[in-house]
Amino acid sequence: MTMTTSAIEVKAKKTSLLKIRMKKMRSNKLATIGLLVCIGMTLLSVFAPFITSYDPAQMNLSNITQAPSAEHIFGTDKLGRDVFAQVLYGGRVSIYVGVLSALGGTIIGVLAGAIAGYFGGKIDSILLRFSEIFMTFPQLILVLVLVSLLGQGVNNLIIVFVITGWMTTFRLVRNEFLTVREETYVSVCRSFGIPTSSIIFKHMLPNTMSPIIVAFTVNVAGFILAEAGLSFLGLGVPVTTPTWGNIMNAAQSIDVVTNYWWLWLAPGIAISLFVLAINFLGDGLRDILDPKQ
Amino acid sequence: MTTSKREEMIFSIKNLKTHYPVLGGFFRKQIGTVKAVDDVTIDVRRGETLGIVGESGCGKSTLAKTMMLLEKPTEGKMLYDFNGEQKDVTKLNAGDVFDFRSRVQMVFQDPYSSLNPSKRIIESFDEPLRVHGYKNPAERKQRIIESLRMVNLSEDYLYRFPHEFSGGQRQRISIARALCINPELIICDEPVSALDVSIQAQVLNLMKEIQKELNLTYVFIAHDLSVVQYMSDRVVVMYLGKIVEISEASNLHVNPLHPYTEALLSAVPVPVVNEGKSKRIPLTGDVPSPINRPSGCPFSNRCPKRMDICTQVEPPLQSYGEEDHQVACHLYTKPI
Amino acid sequence: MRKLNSILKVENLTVSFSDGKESTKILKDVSFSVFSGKMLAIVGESGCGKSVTVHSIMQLLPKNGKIDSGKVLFNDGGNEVDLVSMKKYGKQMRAMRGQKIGMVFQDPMASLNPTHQVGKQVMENLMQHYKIPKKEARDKVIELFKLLGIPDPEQRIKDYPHQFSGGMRQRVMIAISMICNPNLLIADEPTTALDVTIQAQIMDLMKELQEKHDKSIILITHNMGLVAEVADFVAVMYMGRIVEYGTVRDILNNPSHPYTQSLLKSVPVMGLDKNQKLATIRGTTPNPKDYVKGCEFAGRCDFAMESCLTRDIPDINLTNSHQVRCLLVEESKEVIAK
Repeated sequence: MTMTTSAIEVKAKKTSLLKIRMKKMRSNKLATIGLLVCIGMTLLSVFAPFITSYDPAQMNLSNITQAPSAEHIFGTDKLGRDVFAQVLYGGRVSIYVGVLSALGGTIIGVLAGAIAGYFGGKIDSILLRFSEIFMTFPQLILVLVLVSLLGQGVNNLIIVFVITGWMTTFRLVRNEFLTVREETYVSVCRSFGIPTSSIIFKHMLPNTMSPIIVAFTVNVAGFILAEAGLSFLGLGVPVTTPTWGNIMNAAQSIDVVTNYWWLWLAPGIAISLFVLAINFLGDGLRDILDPKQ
Repeated sequence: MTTSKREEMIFSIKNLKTHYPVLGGFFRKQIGTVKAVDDVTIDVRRGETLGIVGESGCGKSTLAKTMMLLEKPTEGKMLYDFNGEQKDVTKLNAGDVFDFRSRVQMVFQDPYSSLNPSKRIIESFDEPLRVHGYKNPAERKQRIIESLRMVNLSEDYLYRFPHEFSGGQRQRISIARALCINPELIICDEPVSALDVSIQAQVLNLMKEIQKELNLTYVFIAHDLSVVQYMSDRVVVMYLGKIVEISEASNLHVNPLHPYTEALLSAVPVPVVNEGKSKRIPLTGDVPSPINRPSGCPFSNRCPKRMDICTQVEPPLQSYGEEDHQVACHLYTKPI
Repeated sequence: MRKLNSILKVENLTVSFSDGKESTKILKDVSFSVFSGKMLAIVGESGCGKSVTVHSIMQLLPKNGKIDSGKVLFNDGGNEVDLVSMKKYGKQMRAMRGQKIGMVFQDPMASLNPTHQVGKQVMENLMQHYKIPKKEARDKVIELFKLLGIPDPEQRIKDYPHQFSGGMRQRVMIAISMICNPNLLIADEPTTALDVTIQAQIMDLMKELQEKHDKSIILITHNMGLVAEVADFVAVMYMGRIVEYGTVRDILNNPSHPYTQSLLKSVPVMGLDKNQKLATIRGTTPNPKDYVKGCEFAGRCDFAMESCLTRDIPDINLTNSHQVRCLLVEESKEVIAK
């Protein structure tokens, strides 16, 4: 048997695993809906210029606080900007912040958690104490301090979120590794002399993947909400950049809440929909990725 | 000394100790020591099956892990025969450790957790082979198929996941994996205790066949005395981290010396209806915790034949009668 | 020989489990008797239905398990009651469990509550069934601990489960099941988690309870050695059927079903020659879903004939006490008759 044919064979078998997972995915309705909504909203934001002809920053003072109409389907705000365009372009930043922050937090959490859980002992104690310091410090104050140090900006916000948001993943991964470490196949790997990095990342990590993915999706949702909250308070992304939170920022006055409902309802629904969809997706992925089912 | 010189040593364990600290209190200070393996000396001879038997907590699994370099010994030497050159494996450099691992492999107790649930059978074999120098993927696959055949499994199983197999099949896969890199010595830690009796017999028979075919040396660890006796040439009886008796397997039930061995033998239920009253030697009490072992002989607090000296002086392991029959008990201590 | 009274009669018990889509028969037409003052051992490998049998008797089947037909007749002081007809968690059945029938499980650590003193856990069972003052209950527990060989009972009833060793914990479990003085004790693999020397202690204790205190015991085990040492009657189960039933002498001295024979030969005994091969049963236990007709063991049996797969297999009486469910025996019996 030649090398190529055996490699092709492995590949063929691999796709069958993918097929099984696709099938499992399709049979899980909530997860499928979640996935479709997430992809749909992301695509809408990415291709915003092709969907709306309005510039989200374009003010039109002759056309302010218009209720939704055929021309402006989500209405216009106090400066006459098109809310639909703002929600579309705002999604770009919000999703970008949410996904990138969660990704950063997960990478740091997984690395630190895997090392702490596998090696235990002193390294574990140090990392654990370190994470506890971060957790006991009031998060909002930490964010305020970091924002004032680094200045406002989308990327600075991501850095702040990563620094303040890696601990839950870290603890999760550490606990998973403490359990998986006791499995016999880890001892088997060690007795074969397989390198430690390979044991951790190739043999142990795949078995801890499903809680990590669930935590990742929860984090994406959390960071999108946190971005919205901070921007609402004026501490997140600069007001000039449209994000879902910044659009809501306009709804700070009672006047807006009672009279111009479209100003907060549209971005509010966008946030809720995306967060809900990503939570459904995460829940479904946990079942789908479990090899034992 | 003629008998022991005649056979070639493959692995000599000398005065091996594996101790664990017991931490306690607010500052996690050491408050005691678990002497899991305490001053154990064994010679494993090439081609034999050395059985190790004992109850839970006697240190047999820790001994196996220490021999496999999965636990760090506290003290002692472990001399392994690298093609005629004896090297202490506790002091090897990384390259030699790797060489050691290609010569010594282990089969573990739990067939359910010894295979990675997220990896196909072929993937579980592939990396060990790759790190041990099988560079060509086609050659690796051939080697995996050969090892599976050795345990009577067909190559159709290559791409299956572990959860698709029964306990007995998994244990055979684990044995095949240990065999795939051609080791000389296999340490088997309770390889059949998780299996049903009829499956147990299949695996035991298979292990014997493979041993004959490949000229392997086994260290066979179990809590079931009759299984160990059946599999082994010599049997080591352990109690609380110490060796209490080493005997020829065929001689063990005929002429047990240590009172603990006698009690262990009499406690094994035999599937024969016995008409009279059983001649069981009752052992009162439980195995003491290895943290506070009784002084003197570790068995002294449960021993039906206890003497005054037993609680004061620890009996040394000495030959009694034949060269190959050793016992650590004051009943047989020779006056020096 | 004096006539034996049965304390429990199981008649044609059939139990099925469903996995949501289809239901599979796990117990098929199981019948046996437990005689008072005797020990019946139910032997078999994992998945043979031995645990399901006792769970059906106690009406403790999980939600997806269902008793399709059959009776479990319990002799309650001369009064015969059918346990199957009782409501699962009704008052009557609750009174049976613990008070009339005691149960000991495999894993003593998992069956004891780690946050309660053991004395309290034993007393609880007593006070649930009898209205007696606490002090009296405590004295009874101490008395029972003494009987069961737990040293220093006055102090030990205040200890928590983790302060006991495995063997002592199993004694506490036996105390819980014995405190109401039931006549029938069901022990589900009581010594599997214990060391051999401790196993010997516990089995001696159970034998003593049976012989001196006239208890009836059902012992579930996979260990033929234990059966030989303690049981009076033996039922061998395979794939949800009793394939052979008889006195311990019948089964061990004259095993007649091929499954029983290979089960006995497949365990190494002390002194077995190293070069002798162990008898094995080829293949693995089949999935109960795949069963069609005939003998469940036919696919792994060395003596299987064509008719084994096509016919219904009858229970054949070899002697008054010895029954086998195998066509081979039927044939040889016919030959003898001719």
